[in-house]
Amino acid sequence: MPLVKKRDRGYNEPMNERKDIYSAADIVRLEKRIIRVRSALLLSAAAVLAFCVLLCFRTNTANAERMEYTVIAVTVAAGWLLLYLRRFVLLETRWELGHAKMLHESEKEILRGTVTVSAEKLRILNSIPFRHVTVETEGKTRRVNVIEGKAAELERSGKELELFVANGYVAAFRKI
Amino acid sequence: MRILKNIVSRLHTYVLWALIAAVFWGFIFGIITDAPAEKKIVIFADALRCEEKDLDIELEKTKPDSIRLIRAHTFDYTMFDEAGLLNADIYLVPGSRAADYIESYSPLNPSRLPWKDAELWSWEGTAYGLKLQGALPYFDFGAEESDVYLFFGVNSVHTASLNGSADDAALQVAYDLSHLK
Repeated sequence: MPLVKKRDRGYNEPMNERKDIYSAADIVRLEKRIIRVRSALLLSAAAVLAFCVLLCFRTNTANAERMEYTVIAVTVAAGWLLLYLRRFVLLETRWELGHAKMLHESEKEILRGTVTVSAEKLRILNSIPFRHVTVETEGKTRRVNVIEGKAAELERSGKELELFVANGYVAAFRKI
Repeated sequence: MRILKNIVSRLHTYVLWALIAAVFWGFIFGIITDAPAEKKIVIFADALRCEEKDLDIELEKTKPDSIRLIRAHTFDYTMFDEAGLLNADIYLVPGSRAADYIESYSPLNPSRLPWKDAELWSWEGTAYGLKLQGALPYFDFGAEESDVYLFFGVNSVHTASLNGSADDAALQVAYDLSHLK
């Protein structure tokens, strides 16, 4: 009878079962999110453009100057917002998807030992945030990384773990 | 904090977007809000200054129904848009420079004009323009220019009485213009 742990999601899961950082379903979810976000950004851009064209058709000699400034101001503000959303929503998701696919497709190295997740959040330029994970086994210490969003889950799983590492990142783990 | 730092680090992108938007709408706004020649009267004034917007608004109050826009331009404007000079419907030019645009004027038939007893401006025996009486509001032709002449464009499509084009809107607008207070 395997040990079980009550999970927040409301289902029971054997504690010594291998837990992937990103499941195949997670990859599909990220792909769908990218499509949704990209569509939303394109639709928003089209809506702003349509609104500006509508303002153009509402222009007469008396309000022409004001309308032109309004159209420019709306375009600039909307463009800034969309650039911001593209950077902080679309690109972040795209980087996360790339990371998830890399973890899934790469060959894994297995490390067993006492795991410590650092408190410091790190970020490489144009990439997702991560944390360092130190694995101590038989007097040797190895340092790998885990994506920030999954660090808490790894910490919760205990100290003695078996890690499946791909390109220096934790791809899956199992309680020993 | 990270978001603010990122925005500052990409400030050039945001500034570049603002410039692109301003230049883009600078062109596109003019194209969309413009009217075709059949629905527009263009006035070229060889004046030092012209309160173009106020003049356009004033003339549009009494414009013919077939006309959507009235646009007045000075010489400065036509340096960037030659069509404003070559395809104007109405020309307002001081007497000292009237001959400079002779190729743009349409010959006049004085008997078919609404101005009576107007002093004509002629070139090689053909009447092209007529002298406007009194000071023209909205224009500054310079202190030394006392005589201002009115001409009609040879390419105008709004001078039916002169060249058999679609309508006489240019004559009507010019008449209103000459009677502005």
